[in-house]
Amino acid sequence: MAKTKVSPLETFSKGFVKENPVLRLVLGTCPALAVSNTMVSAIGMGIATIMVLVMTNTIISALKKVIPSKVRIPAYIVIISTMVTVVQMLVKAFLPVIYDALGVYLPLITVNCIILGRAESFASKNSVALSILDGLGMGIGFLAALFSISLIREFVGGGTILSGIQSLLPFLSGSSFNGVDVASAVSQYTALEPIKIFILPAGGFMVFGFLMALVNRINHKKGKPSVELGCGSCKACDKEAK
Amino acid sequence: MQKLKGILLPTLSLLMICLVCAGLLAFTNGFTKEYIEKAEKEQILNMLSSVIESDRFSEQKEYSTGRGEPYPYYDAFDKDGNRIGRVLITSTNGYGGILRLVTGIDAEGKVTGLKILELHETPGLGSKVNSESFLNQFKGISRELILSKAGNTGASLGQVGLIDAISGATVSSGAVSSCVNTALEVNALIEKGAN
Amino acid sequence: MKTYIALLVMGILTQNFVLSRFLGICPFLGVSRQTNTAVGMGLAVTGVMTLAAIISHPFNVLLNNMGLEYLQTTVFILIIASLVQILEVFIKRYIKALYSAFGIYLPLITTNCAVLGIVIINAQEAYTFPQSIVSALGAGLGFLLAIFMFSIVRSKINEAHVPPSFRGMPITLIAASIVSLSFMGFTGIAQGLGLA
Repeated sequence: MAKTKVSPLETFSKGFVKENPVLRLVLGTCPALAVSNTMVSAIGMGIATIMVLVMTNTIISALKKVIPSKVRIPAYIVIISTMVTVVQMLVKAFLPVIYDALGVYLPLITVNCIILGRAESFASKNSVALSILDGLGMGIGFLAALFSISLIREFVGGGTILSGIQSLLPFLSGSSFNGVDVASAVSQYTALEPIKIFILPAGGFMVFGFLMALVNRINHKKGKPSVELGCGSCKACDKEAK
Repeated sequence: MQKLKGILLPTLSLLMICLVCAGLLAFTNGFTKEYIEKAEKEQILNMLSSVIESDRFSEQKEYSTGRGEPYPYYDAFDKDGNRIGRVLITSTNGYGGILRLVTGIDAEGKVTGLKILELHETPGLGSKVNSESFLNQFKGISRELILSKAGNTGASLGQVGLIDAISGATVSSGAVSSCVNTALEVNALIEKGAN
Repeated sequence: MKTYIALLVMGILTQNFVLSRFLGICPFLGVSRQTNTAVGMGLAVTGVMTLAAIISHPFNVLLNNMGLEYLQTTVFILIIASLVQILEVFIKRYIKALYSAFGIYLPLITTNCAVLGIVIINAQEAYTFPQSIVSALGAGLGFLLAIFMFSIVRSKINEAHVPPSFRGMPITLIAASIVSLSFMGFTGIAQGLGLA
């Protein structure tokens, strides 16, 4: 392992592009596909994940000398699931519509490979400050990926952008802005209709696949290898001979 | 003895972590409980107000026909406390899954409004039943609904009781009609039982 | 009240766990390269899901009765993690043949959306004990069907000419999207068969 000191800025920013959890490391694919059919639920999921990621990274880093290595994984699991439940309760209390929209995927943040992965590979070995930055960076990268996927899916599949934003930002409920409905506006002039498949699960796979191909293209141009299924610490990956 | 220590210490620290986490959860639960209840009440109020105009709603009641699940409903009152209507929640099987509907019925037994709560129909086809143009057909109806597939008859000619199905979505349209029919029936039964 | 057949049909066809609900993507994408490993994984997941559903149901009832619903997620994941650990040790020791076939998949199943997902869904839908078992069985068999079909699709892809950017993950995902689309054809089945 290289002993070079990684700057805090780099710790923070690597989660955006270089080591984007969804598009480069291929972690957290379940929620990325499931809640990206609308932008509002994608953003909600992203923010919830950021919260959990930062909280767990902080706690695990702070307790890294206290948690015995033997019970490391169970301890992480307990801490992560506790944080997820806390976030769950907060979302249910203050953003109930988002809570319904995220459904079963909100508690499933617990098994999101990103969180356990960062805890095991970074937070348990670095300072609290750096761990917070790492968590934030990875979380924002996750949010960005979800945002991109959902932008495409919602706009092409439904013709709207940010539909239902009032459920995410309650202070908007006074105004009449609840997302932009481009389809209805456009339908007066053209016969263009949204391509419904994009909102369906099939569309989710497809958009994700095309985005990955794009990432591969960029990778190849830079001389880097293609993306492969990640989650080494998650152990949920291809163990067969390639 | 060493071995015991090797097991005891990790187990104890794990236990400590579990206890602290459980405490944190209990605290958060206590803190958010009232907000959650408030949010739930508001959601229900929004749902009820969207199908009938009323100043006050009762708590959720249930009507049991002795067969199957009981039907939840809410009484609607004006500011003087007179019962001006009722909101019923009925459900049936649609094409792709359960279809749950909220129906507002006034004191004369006429439908005041509909709101779909749960929809699993084919997107772009059966899901079109969740449109104002389709749901508005049901307003004012007080007797049993008949689904018409012919397109230009029935509701579009203003005949109360006849509902235009959405072409290509007969099952979904039928599911909504069936829910409303059930709501009307149950409403009548509740009225009979109350008198 | 969902009948058992309806639950099975839902889990396998109309709301296929992987292709409609996006649960269990990691093993689905990761272990579907060869048919025999795919089937092995599918069976292992089905087994673990059903066992997890059986064990977690009484705990869920207990938590609800004590008003401690918020401990659900934590309790469930701990049950699953312990279950998989115990299973691995047990199978390794006593049913060696089974271990050589499925053993390597077990660690992959712990932090898996599919198992925790079905347990949480069972709790959210407040299924009775038999309903929970059938729901888990249906979900697992749905996963098995999906991963089996998909492994065959992938073996065909291997023989096709794929553009460089698309090789590996991307074409796999696009193939998955087409398989998911084909499953949409099952939508009206429950209604058509007159199931509750």
